[in-house]
Amino acid sequence: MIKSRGELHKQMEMTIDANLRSLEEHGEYSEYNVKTNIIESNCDIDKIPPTFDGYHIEIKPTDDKFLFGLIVRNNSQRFVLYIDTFFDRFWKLYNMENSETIDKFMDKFTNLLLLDSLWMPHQMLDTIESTLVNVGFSIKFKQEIFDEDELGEDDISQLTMRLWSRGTKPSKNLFKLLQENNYPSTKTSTRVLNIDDHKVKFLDEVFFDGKITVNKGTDIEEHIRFVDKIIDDYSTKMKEIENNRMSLTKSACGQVVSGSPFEIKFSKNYDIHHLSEKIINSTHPFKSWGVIHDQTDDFLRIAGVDVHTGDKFSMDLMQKYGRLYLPENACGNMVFRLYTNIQHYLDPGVMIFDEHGSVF
Amino acid sequence: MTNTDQSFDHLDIINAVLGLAYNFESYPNHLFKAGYKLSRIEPIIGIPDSINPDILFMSENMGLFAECKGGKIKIGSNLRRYDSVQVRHLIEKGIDIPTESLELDVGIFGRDNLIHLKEQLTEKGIDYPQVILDKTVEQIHGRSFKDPKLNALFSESVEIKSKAPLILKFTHSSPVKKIAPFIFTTLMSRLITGRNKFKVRDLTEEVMGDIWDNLDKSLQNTLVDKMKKFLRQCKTKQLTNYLKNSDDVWSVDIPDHWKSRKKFSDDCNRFIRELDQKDLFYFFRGV
Repeated sequence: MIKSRGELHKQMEMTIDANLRSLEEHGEYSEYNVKTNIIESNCDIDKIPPTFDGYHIEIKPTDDKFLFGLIVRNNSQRFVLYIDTFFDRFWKLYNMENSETIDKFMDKFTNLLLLDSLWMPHQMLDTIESTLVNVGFSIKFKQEIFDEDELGEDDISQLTMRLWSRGTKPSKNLFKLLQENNYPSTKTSTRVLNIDDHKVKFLDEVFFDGKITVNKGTDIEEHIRFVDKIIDDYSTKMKEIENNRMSLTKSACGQVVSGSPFEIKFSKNYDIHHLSEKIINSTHPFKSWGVIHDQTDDFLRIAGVDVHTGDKFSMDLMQKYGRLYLPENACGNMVFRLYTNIQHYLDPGVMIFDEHGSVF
Repeated sequence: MTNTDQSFDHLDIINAVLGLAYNFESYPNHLFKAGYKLSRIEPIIGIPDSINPDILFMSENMGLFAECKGGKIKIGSNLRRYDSVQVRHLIEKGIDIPTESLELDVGIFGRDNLIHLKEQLTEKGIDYPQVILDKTVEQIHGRSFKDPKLNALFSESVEIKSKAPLILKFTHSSPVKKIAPFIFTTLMSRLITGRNKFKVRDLTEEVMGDIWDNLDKSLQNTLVDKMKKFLRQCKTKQLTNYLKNSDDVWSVDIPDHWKSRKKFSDDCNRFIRELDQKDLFYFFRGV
């Protein structure tokens, strides 16, 4: 068990070194990749329940005040992650374990009441690419709201695509082709290369949910710096979003309304009654609950609750538009989650605006 | 008690006017486009006797008092005096003044009731710009706005394609039908966050949210009593399977499965739909 941050860095660096050598010599990895999952946290580490969904958790402190070992047991499985809580709201979970095992665990872990994964819409993944060399991407779109027989001739019900390339051209060209033909181009991951003076510092794959895999690397510090930059950008966006939360306060002269609703603009008209049923039935992907309290053929108003956090929200749905009202104490991650899920499961061309313009 | 509560749809009109100051595509954004932001709702301004316009919007060089009218008859005795407000009166109230040369104007906003109000306004010598917000938004009567941008925007009839945004959800005296959805969301939120046992006062405070602290104690107590009645009504009707109480301590229980939550949502929707005319009482006034 690792006792300090220095030891953790050393182990992660040894793993990426071993993988690099193994790739060069045998063409395959020798160890499980170093992976970092960024999660959104609204609690202290001691609030993590010791058992959930069949997982038993033991939290071990290290010499570093912010770093904890997380020993997880599930049936006969045992694996270890390291939680870095330095950034209050966004924790980093490092691991060098089997990807499938960790993905399953993270799915349940981020479903706990006060934790959530990141939800990066494709625009945020595009921004990450912009300063690095983009050598691949994944697209995963699945129409979950409407059945195939409800779709038009030109609508796509499902598109899964994964491209890895040595250079950046194939990635850019294929993506352009998708956009030009109005096909779903919502990236769920992007593969980026950081090269300095012909030397690969890292080749990382960033997923929309905050998972970052080191596919190749020479310098763990560069990977950590890269992850921190993603946290900074997400955190800045979160602040902007949460500045729009609405409240009513009494002043010496009347009442003051702060914040403003978000406006969602769909790329086409939708049957709002069908759409609302899917949005507020508490199930994947939206995980929202609600009651409808004002409706006509082309308008309905929802008083809702995010069943992941218990936060309340209000929403108006129109054929081409939606309005989302976030109250004062609601977690801004709901906007990321809702918007990203609409991209992935309903409308890849959807946009969301606040008073200043496009949010993403 | 705020003057947003004086007529059934007064709050709707206030929301319709407030919506003009947000940057929406789905709703006219005339005030936003002209550079106005919401400054105060229901400011009380002494000139020196108090007047109480519904809304004050402020742009870089203009202040606009908006009076929202829902009725066909009542004008209000102070409306004529809105024109007497000077910048010094706003300063006295601690309102930030954006420019040395701030000019103030007044507008009356309403639905088709404004057609009927015109004569009475003329009789009283009131000729503020009058803007109808119904299927379209357009100035229909009165003098021009002092701000040429507003004149240009409101002179053209623009279709209103959707309902107004819900900037103010309800007031303490709104009809129960308007408050009920937010009682249900509070119950669900409590359930999810493990606070499913509660006292009625705590629930009332949570439902009322920002409004609660602005109410005096007796009004708070009245609302708590109304909430008790409401919960009892829920318990005997569609929500009988979910609500229990022992004296003042209530609990809400819904199995942790999406189908059960969906059923609860359907039952809440049914409850809202079935609130008949008899139940359309004002929450504050009670049954």
